[in-house]
Amino acid sequence: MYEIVLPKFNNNDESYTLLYWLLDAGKPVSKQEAIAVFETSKAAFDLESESEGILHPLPQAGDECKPGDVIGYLFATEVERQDFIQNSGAKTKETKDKSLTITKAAQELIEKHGIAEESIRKLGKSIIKRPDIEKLISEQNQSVVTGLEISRQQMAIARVVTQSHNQIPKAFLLMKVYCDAAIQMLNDHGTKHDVIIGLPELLVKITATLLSDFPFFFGSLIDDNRFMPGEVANIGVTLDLGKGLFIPVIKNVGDKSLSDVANTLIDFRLKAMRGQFTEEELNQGNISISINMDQDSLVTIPIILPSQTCMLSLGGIQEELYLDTEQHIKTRSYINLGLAYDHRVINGREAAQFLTKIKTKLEQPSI
Amino acid sequence: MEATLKKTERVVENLNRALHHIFAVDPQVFLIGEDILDPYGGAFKVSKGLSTKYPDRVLSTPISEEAIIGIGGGLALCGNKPIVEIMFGDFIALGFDQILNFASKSVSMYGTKLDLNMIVRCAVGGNRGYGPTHSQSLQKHFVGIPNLYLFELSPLHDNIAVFEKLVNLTYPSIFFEDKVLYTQRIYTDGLIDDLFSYEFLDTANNFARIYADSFEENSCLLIAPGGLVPRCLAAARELFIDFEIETQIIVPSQLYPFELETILGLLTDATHIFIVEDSVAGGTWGSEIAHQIYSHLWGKLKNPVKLIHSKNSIIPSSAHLEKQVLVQKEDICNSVKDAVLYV
Repeated sequence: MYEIVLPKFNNNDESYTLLYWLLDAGKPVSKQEAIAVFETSKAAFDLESESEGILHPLPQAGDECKPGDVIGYLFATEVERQDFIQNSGAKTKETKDKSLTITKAAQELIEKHGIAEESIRKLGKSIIKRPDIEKLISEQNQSVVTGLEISRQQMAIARVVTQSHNQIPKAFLLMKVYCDAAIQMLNDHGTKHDVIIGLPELLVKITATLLSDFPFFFGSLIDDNRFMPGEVANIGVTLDLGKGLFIPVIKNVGDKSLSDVANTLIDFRLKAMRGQFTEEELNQGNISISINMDQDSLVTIPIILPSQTCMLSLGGIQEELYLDTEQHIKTRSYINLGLAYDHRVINGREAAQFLTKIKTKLEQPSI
Repeated sequence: MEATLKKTERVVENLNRALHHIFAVDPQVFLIGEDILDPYGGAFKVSKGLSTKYPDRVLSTPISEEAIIGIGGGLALCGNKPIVEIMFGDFIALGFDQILNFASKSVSMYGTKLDLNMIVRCAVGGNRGYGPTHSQSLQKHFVGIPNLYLFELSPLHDNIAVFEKLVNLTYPSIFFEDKVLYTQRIYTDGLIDDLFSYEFLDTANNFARIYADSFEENSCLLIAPGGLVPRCLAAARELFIDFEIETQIIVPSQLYPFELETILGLLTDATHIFIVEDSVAGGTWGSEIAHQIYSHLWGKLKNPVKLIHSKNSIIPSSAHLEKQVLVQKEDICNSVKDAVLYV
């Protein structure tokens, strides 16, 4: 079998048009016999055979051919040519199908994941991009489930924290707050009124008193240059008692007494244990507090909810030694109070003023 | 026969057919130029067959560009519709005075508007190794001359429609023909290849848009005259295949005045806009278009308009040096990648 390769006729054209074959398929060709006529941009050229044999042409009249293309074969006998036609049936079909355009990124994925050409063709697209293959891979992965499933509730949390992470340029300030006086006061108050009130309740109450002085800490950014302040302090509190993370909102804290706040929180804790909150209880917060008071827990850097501008963070109670005014070694308790804030709305100066105000009120508590 | 011929028609054949058509329908059309008679039929064979068919209307001249354009201007002044061929566009410089101070001014110099239909055709562009004085693209020197219209040959626009417009424009015009295009196939029926298609954005078929159906973002928009189409297409293909950057290409037939309004929507939507041309750097057609874009869309553009043009250098003869000066596919790819990937 001899391959007929199209030679280069000139320097100007990238391809030539096959005008027509001078001989039919299966006809004998002798050396230097003209077998086809090609047209360049300037003229028509006869293509002479460089060998002899039985002609098997490939392109048809009117086709564009490039120099270097194999445009036909010469066989020793007609039998050989017929054999070739039989055997190449599948082969020619394959090349006819080659209409897929695949980007490099898609091709890399195809090779990495060993994706069969058949499944790519099943997409029914002629242009294959990376997202097409990614989709194919994720569909294939769905049929073989591995790993642990993530709950629907956690997926919802994932969406919120991802949105926050993508949207909010966050800064964080941490402040030390001495809390012996507050703990003492809360114990006294609890004994007197037969209620259990802790630092979280007090922090909620104190935070609400800052609404008028710090409007930008209670509300949402509604546009690049507009902020909508909240009319009352609606304070969300993080609660996770094994049924998932919830941030129920204590509404209008300013109008509630410390005991009311404590009762509402008790109610919320029970609901958190069952994992049952109403939509109403979870909505309309304009500031939130993340509570992480586990033993030796220093502080958490919270994620700011996408509709708010900051979140306070209350850590566990710590003890430290200090020298009192008479240079005696004593112990005292403190908590780490953190504030994660949206730096588009709040700057460090205001954040510090805000925390200092809370610190002052916590360290000199009154009810 | 017509249909099968058209399918594989080369740009030069289409241009030749357009001249034959315009000669057949309008007896006032003349062709004047060097070596345009049969059997030679012009250096690039554009006028093939015309002198045989219309011996009285095809005038072969000595090498005398100023005289050729001057005769054209005079014929047009008297109501004829001359087509002047400048064999190598570089030498249009010799006829600049006739265009600037006679033909274009005559339209409005005599108190009332005078219809002056003269087309100056010139072969421009490099990438052929023809050297500093046979490879230039001088479009920029004609931008902003009152009453003068600039057009460019492209493998997308059917020249029959273009020349029907030009011979009846009532203003003198220059038709720039990138010589690399002559031997390439003209695209028809909106098809380019497996990836790209094209469409016209206006009823006058002035603005062609090359696009891919499968592109969703079309983040990059190239504006390029016809001569740049092969290089822009090759770049757009590579940008997509190698980097999945989706590019569309706007190809105006009329370079100046530039009718920006037609493409304002596309410009507003695009993330990155590039203007590609062969002119060497400095005072280019692209900078004029960029200025128009800024004037209309300041505040709405997502990124600055980027100009891609040849280096500020004379054009070397040696092929590998010529490539360094003139805009190549790689230059377009690199500019787009710089803007899109490395911000």
